[in-house]
Amino acid sequence: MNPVLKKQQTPPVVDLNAIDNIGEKTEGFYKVSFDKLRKNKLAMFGLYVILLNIIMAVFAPLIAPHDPTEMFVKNRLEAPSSQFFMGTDEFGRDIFSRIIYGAQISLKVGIISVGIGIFFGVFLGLISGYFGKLLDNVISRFMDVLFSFPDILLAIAIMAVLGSNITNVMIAIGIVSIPIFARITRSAVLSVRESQFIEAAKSTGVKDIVIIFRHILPNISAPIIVQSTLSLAFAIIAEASLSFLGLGTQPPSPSWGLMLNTGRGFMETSPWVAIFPGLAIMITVLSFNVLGDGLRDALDPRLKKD
Amino acid sequence: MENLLEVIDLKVTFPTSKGRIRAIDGVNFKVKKGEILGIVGESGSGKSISSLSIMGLISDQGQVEGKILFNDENLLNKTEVEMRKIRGDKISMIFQDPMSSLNPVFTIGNQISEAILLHNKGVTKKEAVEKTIELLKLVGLPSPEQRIHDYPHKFSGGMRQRAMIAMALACEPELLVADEPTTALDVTIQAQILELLKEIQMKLGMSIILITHDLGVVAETCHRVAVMYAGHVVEETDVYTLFANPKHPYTKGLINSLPKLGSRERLTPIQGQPPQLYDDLTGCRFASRCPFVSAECLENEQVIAEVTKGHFVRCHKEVG
Amino acid sequence: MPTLLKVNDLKKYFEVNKGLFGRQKSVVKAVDGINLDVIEGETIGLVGESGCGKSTTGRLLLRLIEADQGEIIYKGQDLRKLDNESLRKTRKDMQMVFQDPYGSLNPRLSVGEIIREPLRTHFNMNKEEQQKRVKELLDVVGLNQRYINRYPHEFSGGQRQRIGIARALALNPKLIIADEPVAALDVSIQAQVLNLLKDLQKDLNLTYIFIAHDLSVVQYISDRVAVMYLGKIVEIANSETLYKNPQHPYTKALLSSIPVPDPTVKRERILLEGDVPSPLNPPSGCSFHTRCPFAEQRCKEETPSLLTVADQHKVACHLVN
Repeated sequence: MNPVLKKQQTPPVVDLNAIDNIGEKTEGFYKVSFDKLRKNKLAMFGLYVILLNIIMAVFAPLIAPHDPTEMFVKNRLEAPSSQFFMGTDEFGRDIFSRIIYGAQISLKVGIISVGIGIFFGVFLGLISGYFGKLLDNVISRFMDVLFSFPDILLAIAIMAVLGSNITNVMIAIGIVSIPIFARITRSAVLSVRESQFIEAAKSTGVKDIVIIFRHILPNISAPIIVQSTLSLAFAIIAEASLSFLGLGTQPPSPSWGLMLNTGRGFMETSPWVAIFPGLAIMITVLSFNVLGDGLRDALDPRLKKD
Repeated sequence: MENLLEVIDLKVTFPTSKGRIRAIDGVNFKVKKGEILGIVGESGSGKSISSLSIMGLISDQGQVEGKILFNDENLLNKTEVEMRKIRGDKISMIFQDPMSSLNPVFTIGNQISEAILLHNKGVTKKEAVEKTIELLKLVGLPSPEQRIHDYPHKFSGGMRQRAMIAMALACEPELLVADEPTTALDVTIQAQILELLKEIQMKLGMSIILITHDLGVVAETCHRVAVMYAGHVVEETDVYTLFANPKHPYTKGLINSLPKLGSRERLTPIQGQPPQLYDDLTGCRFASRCPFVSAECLENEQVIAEVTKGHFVRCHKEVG
Repeated sequence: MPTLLKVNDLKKYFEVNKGLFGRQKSVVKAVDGINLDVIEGETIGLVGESGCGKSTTGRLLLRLIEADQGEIIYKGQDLRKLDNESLRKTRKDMQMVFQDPYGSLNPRLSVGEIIREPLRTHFNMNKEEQQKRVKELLDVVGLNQRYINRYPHEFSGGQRQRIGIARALALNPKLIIADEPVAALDVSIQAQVLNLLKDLQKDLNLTYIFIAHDLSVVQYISDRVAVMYLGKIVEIANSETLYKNPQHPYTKALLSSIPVPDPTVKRERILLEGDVPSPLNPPSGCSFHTRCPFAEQRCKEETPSLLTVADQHKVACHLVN
């Protein structure tokens, strides 16, 4: 079958008027959104702190003055000084260096566990939202069950089953993050599914799988991106909490939560042992949260037109 | 006849990321006492912005210049409090989508009598309810005594628009601004609403500004017409002259673009697209689509001028 | 001329849940027994007010919505009996142009990608062949090839509608179902698109089913017009006949309701009472009897069937037949 139109003898049937009268080239969705984000000072502050965190994590061996596990036996529980910016802990380890290395753990746990949440959550949300009916019911009810547990309790329960090490921390937090992604994706799919361009794709005979990944997924990226930043914040808190409870990262690795836990015992005599890891957690989580809020505004299509 | 409203050199601009948009750029028109003025134009022509300026409903971002004389008082000099009083008492407005202006949690009767109580001091509740029923009867709502207890979602589109008109009439305005009042309705319902508007205009003797994109609606309802294009009024005259002897190339093009019932003759559309209204526009705004364009049109902007008595046109060719 | 598509007794009922826990089920008869012969090369207009089932009918024909009953015969086979794979193949021949120039194009795909998609789906073409074909299509609908990599939001409504038409033409369809293709456009742009559709029909030998609420538009573009009311066709005739000699009271009222852009014309207007009844509880007998100025006792009891009154002219009304 020849897919080319019947050859036209006369010049194509065009009212030439339609030609050449297109608005100027405008920027893409993400560029416009980023320009909007840049105007949001708080969100940009969050973004910078996160970038700083990433730099800290990647270049930890270059930045940190000491090895995070090296014990300066003579300098145990020493107050902040020029040698130890943030003091030392009960084994004489440099807290500043441990916090820098701790960023590695926090970010690794955050990114991998949120990755697990996005992968499974978005997939489940896409198929339950697109196909609907029984499949939707089964998936949604299962997500409701997961939702009905408090997040951290669910993570603790999973850790109890899997045993405590850092891989299991990531798996546990990942599983806990699945329902929120599934739910957000599903509701976004439901609103996009009714669009005329989906109907148009169906009417040209495009397969479901292509419709889902080519037409629906790119149009629901905004809420997923926003949720990712908020879930990252949750993952960091959850890792810290699990470690604090002794269920997560095991000593001597410099997890912020673990450091907070050990520092608790010396609050009255050497408060810096607990305060600095606490501050690190707080600032990082806050940064992810304000960035998430900023992204939510910047990516909102309703505020798009100026 | 006396002028009720006179708009003189009205300009409205809005800031955007790409520069100021001149949504309305030097618009003049008048509404006489007891007449229906049609403002017709396509999307982006500025017809709705004109009506919102009259109502004082342009957002703070928009800059409004010029004069809007209502009974010889400039509305643009009024404070927000004074405007609110005028909006209720002297000028009312009805919108395209009646549902968005009706509060879904109050009954229709409640909302109309509220409007009556608000603007007529010394009216008792009972009198207000009686007046409401009377108004709903006037707008042709069947069995108003029962329907005043209904919530808006129980009304069909046509009935909601009737209720909106009743609410707009609650304080006997001198001017009713109707912004595409029938666009969301089916043709058979549109016919009902247009008949109603003509009827109440005759009965109450008020003036109406009818904003629409539909030349048919204009021809059937209005006494005089202002045609808007890209922020300008390009032609203003009485309705008979407009259709019998249109002068501006845009008006002519618009009339020729319409499919006519009973004829399948090929349409002659207006070429191209309307311009974007940024600050750097020069010359006539219709020039890029005008079949009679000349060098003069591209350079100088023509102001609107009277070519024959009561017939105003904004075109170099006609004014000379 | 041969018949391209034959529709027999097509029905679609939607179930609606009512009541606090959705226990009461009511049925909306969106399309209630449509019979239609579409002749090759013609334009048949479906016209009616909101809720009359005209858009649903269009979607039923393409099986974007599944019908409950009836036959859609195309090339000797009933489309409703096709399995998914054969349906996908048949869809090549039948394409749709949608109403909303903003919603019908995926905002994240470029114009080239949008028009290329049907080609990728159905043909075994390489990248260059696809590109060539997309450019050809842009030409045909009057858009500059330079804009192939631009995104939909950079175009105006009329231009977007041209993109939608190019997508529909990509597969060399025989039949195009156009659902209110000009309703969202300004008058001057509407005329451009109507002319384009007419020219394309002549050049590519297309058959159109043109769905719209605006009778003057339908009348302009169609050879035959079917007037729908509450899920049924009440009158079908040649475009001229329908205008000059309408038989059904609803058609007459519809025609007289259209505002004519000529203030010197003073018409006898038939103002219909009240609103279109809810399709949830359609009236008994003739569904128009609640608003019909000529309704008799019989109209309330018996449903009129669509009968031939003259050559090519069918009416469903007791008073006419």
